[in-house]
Amino acid sequence: MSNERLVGGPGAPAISFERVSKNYGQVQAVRELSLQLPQGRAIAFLGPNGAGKSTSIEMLLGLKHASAGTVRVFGKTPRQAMTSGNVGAMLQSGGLPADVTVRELLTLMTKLHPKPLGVDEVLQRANIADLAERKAGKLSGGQTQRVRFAVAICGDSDLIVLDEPTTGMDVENRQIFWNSMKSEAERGKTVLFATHYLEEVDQIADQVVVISKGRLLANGSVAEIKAMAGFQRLAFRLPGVTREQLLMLPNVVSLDIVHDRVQIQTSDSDETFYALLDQGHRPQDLEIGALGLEQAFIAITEADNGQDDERELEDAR
Amino acid sequence: MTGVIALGRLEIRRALRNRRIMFFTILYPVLLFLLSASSTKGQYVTGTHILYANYFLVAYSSFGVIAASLNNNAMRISQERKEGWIRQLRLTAAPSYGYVTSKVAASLVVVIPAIAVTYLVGPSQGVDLNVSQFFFSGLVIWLGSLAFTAMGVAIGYGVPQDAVQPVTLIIYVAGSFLGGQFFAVSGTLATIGKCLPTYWVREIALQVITKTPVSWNGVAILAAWVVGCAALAAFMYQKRAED
Repeated sequence: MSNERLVGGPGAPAISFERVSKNYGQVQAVRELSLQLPQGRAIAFLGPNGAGKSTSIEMLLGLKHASAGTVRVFGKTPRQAMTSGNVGAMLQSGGLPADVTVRELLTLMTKLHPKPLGVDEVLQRANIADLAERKAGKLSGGQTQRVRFAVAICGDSDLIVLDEPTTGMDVENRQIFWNSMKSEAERGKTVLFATHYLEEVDQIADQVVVISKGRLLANGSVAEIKAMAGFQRLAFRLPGVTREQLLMLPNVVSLDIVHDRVQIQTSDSDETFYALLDQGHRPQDLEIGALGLEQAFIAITEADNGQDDERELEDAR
Repeated sequence: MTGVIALGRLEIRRALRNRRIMFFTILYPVLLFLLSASSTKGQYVTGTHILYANYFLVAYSSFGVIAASLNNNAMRISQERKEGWIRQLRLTAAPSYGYVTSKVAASLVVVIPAIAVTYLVGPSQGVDLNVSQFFFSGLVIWLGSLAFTAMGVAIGYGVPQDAVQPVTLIIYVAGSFLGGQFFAVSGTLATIGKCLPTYWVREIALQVITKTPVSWNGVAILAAWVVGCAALAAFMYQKRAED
């Protein structure tokens, strides 16, 4: 039997959860989560608020211990991976001391890692060279996030974990930040980021993990997640058409009309479209495609909520 | 190890450029020393052969040391715990004891100016000590600071954030009052004081100056405070590990 995975060879998954649970008293934040994430990818970690994202991240960073199951990072325990410099991280709550300049902070942080980058290199990669002499307490929300990112990358670690990195950033800052994130991924780092901005995911992620209520809902590429929702989008312009006419079409899941602009979510775009033509309509500016990631995400998590209701009904019976 | 040293060095720089800390550790004690010593010039502490100037020298430099070690550590640790700085440090390769070790080491440096500055202005108020008396009494106060540093760490980790300031202030003021930092205590005040580290730091430093034999039960009480507070600090640290 090969024990390659145990010693953390190149084939070892960056992150592996095996039947991991975490309880806070009566509350189960994470339930038997099993998950393997490969090295060298940008992985988005999605889920509604309270889904167990932060708890999972805290466990893989060694800040919290799992109540049951095993968490491994490059085949090591989270704490071992951290002390051997495999992991750099930025938390939502990772406070920076207000009375220290950005350069002092990063100088310290590079000394707390075994094989760090130079401070100037970090400043440049995180796009904060202009902030180097500023006190950490005098930064705006978006600037603080960029400094936190610098803290996460300064150890030149193999895995970079970012918990909601673009919260509090304006659009321009966010674009700059995405570029920094992308370049880290292109350097071969594994980047795991939790976020609420699905546009971010669409642009950056090679892989998407969706959890809800502490369980794994989906794990795949962006395209696979979109396909998983099982619906397509049909959009066109059709003056004079009524809601009733369109609702008679087969496979329609939802319908949205603004003036003469129609948007349909359908479980079979071909059939819906042919039926529309059969009705004698000739729609213009036609678009047929997959759902946006955001709509797919909502569809997946809502489907799960539905199943939960059924489960509860069964329990009640 | 380089990481812990880097942390300690930054701690020292942060403390030395913090005006509030410098006020309470240097300026305030020195002003009180100048006031007290100048108004008792040439007098002896009642019933002893100790010059008031010498008494206040030891009393107020230890007063500054208490502020530098107890108040400083308690308030900053609780604040850094709340802000998430301690968590952020746990996301590095630094060992888990690194943060506390750096705080203790930095404290041992930051208390030095509190002792040195009072000792420097001492002679202007009639303090008549030779070099070895200066050195060894200063050494006693310096080592005694460990009791207050450990207490500060325990409070910083153990007391809820919003209560840290009042708790620290009460201990700082009451401890100094009963320990004889403001005036020579006697009677009931001294009886209570003799259980406290504030009393024994000052008293043992004074014994060194006056060449009276060091009371070993005082050393034992002081050591017990250091060990007790360090154990409490370690316990609180463990308890808060998952915060």
